[in-house]
Amino acid sequence: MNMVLIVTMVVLFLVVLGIFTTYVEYKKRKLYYPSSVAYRTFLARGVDSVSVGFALYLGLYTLGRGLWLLPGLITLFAGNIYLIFYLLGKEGK
Amino acid sequence: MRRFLLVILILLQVVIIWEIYATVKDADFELDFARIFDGGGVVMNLSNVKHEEPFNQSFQAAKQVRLEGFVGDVDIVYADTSDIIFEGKKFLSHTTLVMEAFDSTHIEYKIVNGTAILRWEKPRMFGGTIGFTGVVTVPRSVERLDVEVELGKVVSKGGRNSLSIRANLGDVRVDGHEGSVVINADLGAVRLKDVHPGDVLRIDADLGEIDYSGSLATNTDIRASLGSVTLRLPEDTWTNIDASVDLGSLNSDFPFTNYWQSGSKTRIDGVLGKHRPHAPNGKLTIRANLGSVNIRKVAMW
Repeated sequence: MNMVLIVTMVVLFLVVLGIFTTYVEYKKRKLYYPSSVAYRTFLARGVDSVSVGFALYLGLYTLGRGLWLLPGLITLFAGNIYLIFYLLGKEGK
Repeated sequence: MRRFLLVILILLQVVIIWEIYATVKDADFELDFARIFDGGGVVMNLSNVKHEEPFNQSFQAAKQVRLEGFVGDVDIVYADTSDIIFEGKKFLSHTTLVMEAFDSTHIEYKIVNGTAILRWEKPRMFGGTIGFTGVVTVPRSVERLDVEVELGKVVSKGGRNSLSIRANLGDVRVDGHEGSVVINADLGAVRLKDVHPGDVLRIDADLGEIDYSGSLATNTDIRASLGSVTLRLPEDTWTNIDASVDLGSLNSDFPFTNYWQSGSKTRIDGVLGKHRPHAPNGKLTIRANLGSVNIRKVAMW
């Protein structure tokens, strides 16, 4: 089986899992705090992850292109989802 | 403003996904499940050859020769010559053609303490594979030959020396060899036929079966982590044996002494062969973690 297909399946699975767990966490937080506070948590997490991911990506890119770029890219990917979730939530309000 | 930011982030997400895809695709290796279940193992992809050129080079040999870090299928033959001769193809296997990396790959040659060392020098940080596939002719006068192949099959025919082969990914096959043999195979089957080792015969295979046909050495040591072991020995075999299998069967056509079983573990720690007036010759050690051990009697010498 092709490695590209395996990674695609893993990434898709993680995306679905990430969205689901983020949503569950948002619902849980909303029980104790107002929605705006709950959303702000995702903003903080998103900015954190995007910063770390971008730093990792830039740092590892000095070695050239290769599989070692994945940690940075995946962290960037997860952080971006948080930010999109934050903005979508704000839009919905 | 928020909508604009949202569009930007979604576009960024698409770019990241594409980048992840491109990075993995550039890495250019694949899991071949068919070969894993066939006893082959994880293989890097050598089929996606983007470029190949004839590769013919020769180097002055020494009494001891070592080939290091080679990639590709290597056939070792012996001839009455004073040089080590490489005849075959140099190839590049990758999703893209990187001629700079291809051209910079070469054989580094040096002689250290009477040993001719030939190293396949590859560019670092290159996602693809650049290798040599072909025939390596070694002088018959070479007393010791060490071969290390990182990826690819190794075949040696008609050697009369002390042979050591290390294969990380790929099968090992030795035919008609006379002299000590040491083989380490991480992933891949080990097949030896018509081998008459001198003092030492050592075979270590992590994943992949061992199929040996020939006489035993004074010290024979065979270890298999995952995979069956089949030994085809001459009828007159008479040796000390210490064989154990953690999980699997242990079968022998020869009579043997001191057989015992404890749980899933089977062990023979005694003598193998038809009783003779003289003391048994040498020692045969077999260790198999998972897989059967079969000792067959053959009349072919």
